[in-house]
Amino acid sequence: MEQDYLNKIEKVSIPDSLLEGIKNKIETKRITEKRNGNYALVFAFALLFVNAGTLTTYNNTKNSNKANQEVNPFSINESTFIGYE
Amino acid sequence: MKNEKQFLEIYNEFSQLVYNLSLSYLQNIEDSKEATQDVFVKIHTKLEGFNNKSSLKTWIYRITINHCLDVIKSKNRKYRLFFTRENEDYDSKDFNHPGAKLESKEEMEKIFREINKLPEKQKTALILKTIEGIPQKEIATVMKMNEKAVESLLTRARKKLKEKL
Repeated sequence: MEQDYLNKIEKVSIPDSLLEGIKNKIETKRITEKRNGNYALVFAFALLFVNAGTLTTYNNTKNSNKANQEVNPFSINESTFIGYE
Repeated sequence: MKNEKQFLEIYNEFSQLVYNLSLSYLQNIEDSKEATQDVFVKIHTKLEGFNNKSSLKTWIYRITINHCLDVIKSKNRKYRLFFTRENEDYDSKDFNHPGAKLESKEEMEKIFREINKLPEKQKTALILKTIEGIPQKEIATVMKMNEKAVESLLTRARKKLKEKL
């Protein structure tokens, strides 16, 4: 029974406006992908700068710590020896 | 530019096939229009990667079938989110097939409601064979199966429909 009905389904012609809709969707997709690509690029650069900044800060801190640990004989003053007498 | 020309040729040759196949799966004009548009956007995107391993027609059949099945799954998921009754799918409530004649519309709706309940592969085999009128050998190629497996799917699908109707 179902076969008889299903065989009777007529082929429908395609609506005219469809191609225009497809072109619009393709264009929208292209713009979105381009925008996403730009965002990704900006994000990558931002990440690069942040990383570079963090590294510089780390290096500066490391150098400054190292410098603090070194004893400068000329900076020793009398107060350093208080309590040793 | 060459691709655009090729794309338009493909559209002119296959748009009716894609639209009618979408109608067989979705049974709704608006959903089928949307699906046809999405299928052609996919074809446009993937055209460069098409490697002629299968024929263009088979490739388009596969894209359309997969897309329609995805649409149905997504609609059912959304529907079940709000209405939790099992075995009741959104797609069976929205019948609007322009190819169905008015006098047989009610019967047709009943048949499609049962077709929609079939497992995906049985449904695909039945639609391709009975509505689209594709030879069994071609169905086997589209579904990446051998002919005997397609025959078995068709037999099971018809048996289930006979029991229900």
